Order: sequence, then C-alpha cells, then structure tokens
Amino acid sequence: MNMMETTGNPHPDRTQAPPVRPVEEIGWKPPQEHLMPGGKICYYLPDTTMEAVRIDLLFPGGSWTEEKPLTAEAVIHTLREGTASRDAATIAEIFEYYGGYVVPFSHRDHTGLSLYTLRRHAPPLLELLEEIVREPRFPEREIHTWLQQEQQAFLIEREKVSFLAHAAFLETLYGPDHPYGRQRKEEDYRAVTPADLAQWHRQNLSCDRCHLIVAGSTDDELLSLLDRHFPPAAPTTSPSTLSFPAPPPTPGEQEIHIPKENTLQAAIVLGKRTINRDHPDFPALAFTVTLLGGYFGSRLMKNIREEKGYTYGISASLRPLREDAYLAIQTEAGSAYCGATMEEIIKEIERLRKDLPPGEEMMLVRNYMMGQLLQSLDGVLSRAEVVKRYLSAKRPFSLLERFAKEVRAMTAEKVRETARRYLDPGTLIRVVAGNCDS
Amino acid sequence: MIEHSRYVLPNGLTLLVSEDPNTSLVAMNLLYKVGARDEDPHRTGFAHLFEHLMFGGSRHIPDFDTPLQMAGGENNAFTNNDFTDYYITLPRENLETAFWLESDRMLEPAFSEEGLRVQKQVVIEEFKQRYLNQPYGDVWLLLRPLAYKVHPYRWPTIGMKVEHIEQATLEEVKDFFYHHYAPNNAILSLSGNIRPGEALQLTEKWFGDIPRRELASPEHPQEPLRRGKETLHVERDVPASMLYMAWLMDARYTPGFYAADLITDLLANGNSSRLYLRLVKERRLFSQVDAYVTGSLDPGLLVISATLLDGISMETAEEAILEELEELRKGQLNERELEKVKNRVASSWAFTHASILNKAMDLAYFELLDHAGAINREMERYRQVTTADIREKARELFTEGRLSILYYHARNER
Repeated sequence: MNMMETTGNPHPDRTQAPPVRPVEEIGWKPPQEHLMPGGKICYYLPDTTMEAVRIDLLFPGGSWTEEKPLTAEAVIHTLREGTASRDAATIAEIFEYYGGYVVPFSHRDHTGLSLYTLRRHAPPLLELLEEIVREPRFPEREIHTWLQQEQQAFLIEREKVSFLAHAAFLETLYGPDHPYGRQRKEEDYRAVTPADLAQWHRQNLSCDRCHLIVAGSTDDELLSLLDRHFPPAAPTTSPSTLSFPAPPPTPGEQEIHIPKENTLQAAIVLGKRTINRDHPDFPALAFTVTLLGGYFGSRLMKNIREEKGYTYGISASLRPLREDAYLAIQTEAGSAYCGATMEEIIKEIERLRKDLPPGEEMMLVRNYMMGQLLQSLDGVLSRAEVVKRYLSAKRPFSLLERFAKEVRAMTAEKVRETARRYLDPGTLIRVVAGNCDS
Repeated sequence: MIEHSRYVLPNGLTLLVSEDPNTSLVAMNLLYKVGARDEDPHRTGFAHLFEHLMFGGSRHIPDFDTPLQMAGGENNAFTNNDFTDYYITLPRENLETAFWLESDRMLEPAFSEEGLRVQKQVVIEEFKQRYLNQPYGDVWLLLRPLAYKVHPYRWPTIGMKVEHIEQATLEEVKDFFYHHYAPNNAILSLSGNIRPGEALQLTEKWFGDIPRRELASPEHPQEPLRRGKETLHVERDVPASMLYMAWLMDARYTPGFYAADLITDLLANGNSSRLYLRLVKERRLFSQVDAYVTGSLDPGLLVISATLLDGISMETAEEAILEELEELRKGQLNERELEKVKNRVASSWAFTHASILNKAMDLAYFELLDHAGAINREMERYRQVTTADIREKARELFTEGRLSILYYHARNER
C-alpha cells in the first residue's frame, strides 16, 4: 500500500465524451465437462484465485410435475429436516459448523440445491449433501412446521398488490389448472402430506437425472469426491409420468381488475404468451422489449417515471420457460395516475409499431444489451448461473452466441416489424390490482 | 487479502484501487460521506431525494444514464443513514466514460425546477410503494423514533413523512450539494481490470481540478441510555402479528461491535441457531425469527424480530426471547458453537468478495470507517472474540435502558 500526494492538473475538456468502444465479444466460454461414472456430465468452472466453491444440484422436475400443488417446493426445502440417521438440528449444525450454506431453490421447470462452502470444508459437507438427497425422512412434525411457516409467508405476500396482479395475470394466461397458470391457495398448505413428499422425492430426485454444476475453487480431488457421492443410481421408480399439457389458446384482449381496499397504489401487469429462446425472432423480440422497458433509460421509464413521475419503476421483460414463454410489462403506480399510466404504456407500444427508432437509440440498446451479456458472464459464479438457466430450459449453450450475434445486427426496421408482429395491444391481457382511479 | 493502493489528491479526494486481471470489467464506487443523519430534522429524506437528483444530468452532460448505457455500463446508487453511494460497472475499455460522468456531477449537477418536481413525485411514489403500501412497510418509520429520541437515526432515509419531501426547494437542494458533495468528502474506489497507476492518472485528469469545498458539520447528538424500556403498540391490517425488540449497541467500528454481531448469528443465523431451533421448531411460537445489527457509524441497534403464529400472545413471545437472551448472559455457550458462527462469517466473506463490485464498495466503506487497510483485518477481529466476550457483551446490552419494543398487532387475528 502506498500513499502519495499528487499535483493538480489543468482542466479536462468536459464537453467531449471520451471515445467509447462497443462490446463486440461477450466472452462466452462453455463450461468444462467432467465425465462421471455412468456417463453423466458434471459441468465445472474453475477459478484458482477463489478459496470458496459453489456446487449446484439441478433436478429437471419442477412444480409442473406435481400432482398436488406445493409438493416439489416442499420436498426441496425439507430434505434437511431429517435422514435415516440424523435429525434436522444435527444436519443444520454440521452444515453450519463448517461454514456451509445450503440454499434450496424451486421453479416451475426445476428444483435444486446450492451448496456454498470453503473448498477445504467441502469433503464432510458433500457427504452430508449426498445423505439428505438420497435418504430424507420427511418427519411429520418438521413438515408441519415448514408448511405453517410458508402459509404465513404466503398470506403476507397476498397482501401485496404486485403479487395479486402477477398471480391473476398468469392464471388468465395459462388457465387455472395449467402447471404454468395454477396459483397457490391457502388450503394447499394444509393438503400436502409427508407421504406425498416421499413419493415425489422417489420419482424426481434421483441423481441419475440431476445436473451437477461446480464453480470456484475446483480440482481433481473435488471432482472425484463428486463421482463418489453422486454416482449413477438405477432409478428405483420411473420418473413422473405427467406430460406437459399444451397451453390454452391465447385469450386475447381482456381487462381484469382485482379489488383491494385502502391501497395507495395500483399494480399493473400487461402481457401475453410469446415465442421462446429457440425461435429465430427471439433475439429481435428481446431487443424490442428492452428498448420499450428493459433498462433504466427505456421508453417506459423515461416517459412514465422520469417525465411524469407516476411510478418509482416500470419494466418490460421476456420470461422464457422450458415449454412456453411470455412477456410482461409491470409497474406500481399511484392510484391517481393508474389510468394515465395504462394509457401511456399503450401509447408507447403504438409508437414502436408506427415509427422507426432513431439510430442513436438503436446503438444505445445494442451497446447496453451487449454490456449486460458481458456482465452476466463475468466471474465463474455468474457464468454458472447462465449454465443452469440453459440446462433447466433444455436449450443448447450455443443459443447464447446466436443471441449476441443477432443483437449486434439489429436494425430499426426489424424493431418496428417485430413490434408489429408480436406487440399488438389488442392481444394483451391487462390486469390491475388495487385502487385505480379509472 | 484484498490488495489495494491508496492515494489522496490535493483536493482531498481519496482513491483506492484493487487490480484484478481476470475480468474484462471495472467497478467504480463513489462514496459521499453524507447520509440521513446529516439532515435537518425539518427536511428529512433530503439526502435520498438528492441521490435521485444526481441522475438528472450535470453541468456539461444533459443525461447521466445514456452515455453510460452507450458504453455498455450499468449503474445504481443507494442512500443510508450514514452515507450515499454511487456505483458503476462497465467494460474496461470504456472506463474513462465513468470518470467523465462521475466527475462532472461532482463538479455540479444540473439543478432545475422541473427535475426537482418530477423527482419529488417519484420519491413520493417510492415512499408509498416501499413504506406505506406494503404489509409491515411502516415498521422502521415506527421503530426508529422509539429507539432514538435525540440522534438523527430517529428517522429513516426515505424521510419522516411525505410532507418533508413535498416541501423541498431548489435553493435547499443547491445548498445541500455545496455543503456535502465535495472531493474532500468523498472516497473513490476501483476494482477490476485496471492498473493503479492508470487509475491515478485518470483520477487526476477528471477529478483533480474540482475544488475543495467548505463542508457543513451537522451535529449527531449521542443517544443517552434510559431508565426503562420504551414500548409502542400498533394495530394494522396484516395477516400475522410481529414483535420487534431493539437494543442500543456499539458503533460499527468499535471493538465491542464484533461480539454483538456474533450474538445475532448465534441467535438467528441458520437452521441450527438458537431462536430458530427453540422458538420456531421446538416451541412453535413463531413462523419466522430474525436477529441482526444495523451496523451504523454511531451507536446502532441490535434487532430481534419475530412473526407470531396464530394464538401466540405478545407476552409469551417476548418472554420466550428474553429467556434465550438470559442463557447468553449466564454464559451458556461452548467453543464449538462460537466456532460455528465464525466459520459462517468467513465463508460468507469469501463469497461476497468474489465480486469486483463488492470489493470496490467495501474498500470505500472501510476507508469511511477508518482506513481501507482495515478490510484485511476484519476477519481477525471476528476470530478474536471469545466466549467470555459474548457473555460480557450480552450482560452489557440486554438491559431495559437500551431496549425499545414495537408490538405490531394484526387487526383481525384469526
């Protein structure tokens, strides 16, 4: 470390922006592959400067494979609640004594566990991780406690207008019985039993169907530990046989209002089902949606927050899932501005369909998106997130490079054409939750 | 170890640089030593409102965000009770854009009536979205004035009330800027693919000619201990009752802070923590329990919060928590349990500092606390805490003269 005084400088020319070099390469490197016994691949992203490592187990069965709502999430969150030989407190104490963090995650398309640990503490923790995945006991009392906690958290969420609007939006989009549209109900938290969990676990959490993703301080010894703890196992039962139902036809323009008393703001969601990652137009649509509302300087933010002050934030985004995709525009606006906000959103969409975006805006969005891609691939932990996203979606990593290439090549004509094809306001479902003046 | 270089420009700006050749990005963090504690009690929320105005363009640059997005960068900012922090990450080739932008708004933001009008409205919507229109959103609006009677920590960064934001004038805005935003009140830190020499050269070029400014030095009267506890009961339309207990504790950079921080980990960090095991799982009183420290520059708060399950009374809840604290006061703690919470601190530290942005932020933060080099002694400070220190700290802190309790009752308990 050094400390030094320096001398003053003449004034720099502040009227001229320093030259900017656009990002041309996103720096994508596929993860390394380690062939495990039995032919399964473990993806790993080493960084020798780190002393910590994250190990993800990703299972392809998400909430859509449930027969009873909540089962998948309950299983992944309660694996730690007891095994044949250890109770919940003992398991938690061992993970935590070694400074480990086990983070369960669940989604419509997948479930999984992340283990965060210092490399030197990985051996005892991997042994324990194997145990909870292989032989969880789902003790009645612990499961009941977990469900009670989650029920209360759910009731709190249900008080938020943003939650109500999003739930109603998805239910309308996919239908109340479809796995992507089905919404939690309070009684779901009383219906799930330990036997349901055990059954779903047998059908879905076998390690011959999981993906392993390792990021950080990895070495040969760690990989062979993984071989030992997560060997190919002949599945004891066949996987869930539920097939994915075709989503219903697009419901078309609809307005839904979810009343909630005494709210100061209304939550607004507009959107529709749309094309997925592998569709040739996907990068163009992602670009168009970003230009509309995907970043701080987007048209919706500029108009509705920075010029009018109706909201603290507004966004538009694409949400690709494994079997389908949708786009959503969402915001929370003061109740007095709710109708005006809706009008402005539609106006901005119409403007995209009518006029060509100026060249400078095109360059801005292009550079911004390339910068975002670069940032999302910086560091092994971020790269591992991208790897998980593509594995969950069952899409090849090569789509990422195609995406970057298309973004670089976007034109104003293509934005307008894309907006005309995919953003017809007449096809958007509009949901408002809470007090709205109009 | 986070290797870094430190420089001070003649105008008082401190520069910290931590080079990491394994990334194609650079993170730039600019910390101003001004927060909500520096506000006039009649103009609360001002530091945060000001942060919004810093994005409205500056003397030579009409719009802050556009050039940065053009350079493939990303940025944001936050304000807390002690300081205001602006941060950018961008590709290393375009780093100079960040220097150009940040230095121009340190020189002078574009002050305009229209900009102020809109941002006041945006902040009022933020006030509604985060504090008024959320279940439990007003907890800190209630808890702060209960725990602090004289120190400016008695209001949250969003402000005491919406009216304070509505009343802000452009004159006040300018005045605030020239008394708090200055090179001699700021810490610039960089982390990522940048050599220290190059960083220094760019800093001199872009920040070197910004003059020192005369700083306001608002008073921060220290909060006295009281004779007994402070309590407040409120009733709201929420699904479950909550209990908040807060004790006045040591300031962030004092030797006593570390034992207090580890106490909150013993109590509620993880599924083997004491309150979770005994009160959530064994006794089934709460659906959720949490313990943490606010970690502020002046004496802060050690907070325990719990969400009560149906049918559990506030009295039962409070008593159960106090019983657990009594165990700590009696010294019921073995080496392994203390070792456990220290190991958790160490691994979470390792993951946090894998990110260049977190490194840049923390370097500036430790410089604010004392000096940037302290970042490399932080883990040692936790390691040195003994079981006896925990017992003594528990005896010192968990007394009624330090305690404030907020009873947040659900209106229609089911």
